[in-house]
Amino acid sequence: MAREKVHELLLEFGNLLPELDQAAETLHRFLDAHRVPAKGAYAIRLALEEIATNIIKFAHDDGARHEITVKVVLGKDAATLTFEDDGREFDPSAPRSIPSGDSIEERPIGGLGIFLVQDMADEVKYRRARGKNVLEVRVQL
Amino acid sequence: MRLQVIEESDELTHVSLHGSLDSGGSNKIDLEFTRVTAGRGKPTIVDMADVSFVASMGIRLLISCAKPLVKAGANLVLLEPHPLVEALLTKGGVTQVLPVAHSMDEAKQLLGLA
Repeated sequence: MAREKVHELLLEFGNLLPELDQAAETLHRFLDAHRVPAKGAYAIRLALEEIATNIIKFAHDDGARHEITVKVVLGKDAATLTFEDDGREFDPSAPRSIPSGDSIEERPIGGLGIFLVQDMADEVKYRRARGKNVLEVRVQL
Repeated sequence: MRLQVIEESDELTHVSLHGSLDSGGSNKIDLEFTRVTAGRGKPTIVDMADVSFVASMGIRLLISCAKPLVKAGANLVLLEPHPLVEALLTKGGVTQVLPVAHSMDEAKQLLGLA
């Protein structure tokens, strides 16, 4: 029976933007090393950036260090990222729309990140388990 | 992320960005980018040809600097973004409010300078 070759990467970092930067760089090198096609690689990098930034900015307000883990599994045709954090309950899979505003003056500055992840991923699934947010993002390669 | 200032004249501000415009990249150039774009108040071209990745924090920086420029009667144009970057900007509706040009001539036309 033929088995699909799977490559895995586990990222563990604290809820600080400089640590996300380092994790993003590690992910970028991993994707390059496994020659992930450009469009899929972009979606994977975007998922890490947007979901982790959201956790860092909004998941806690106690000023303490909290860990974020992201497991990346690369198959032949798809990649899955699984995010875990112990922050307040938050479901990024709930449908979003583009922040509205027809002119530059009206356009809100924030609110776009989760929408872009939902748009670029094939599937976004959320559950709350053992006091943690668990989010799976699947990207077709 | 690296910012390079190409022109700071009375007529035009022209800068180029190099690298990833994610949260880290945006934080790195925020002050200088804001100073040289919104701070100068001139029609502005941001050369994106060497920007391999843009995320929402980068979009936030671009829009936040474009707003005061528009208010001052100028504008900000994105020049030659990478196709994947342009696709993201289009998906996010950003190109409706931040014009994209694919040549310097087009950029100047969009700014009313050609």
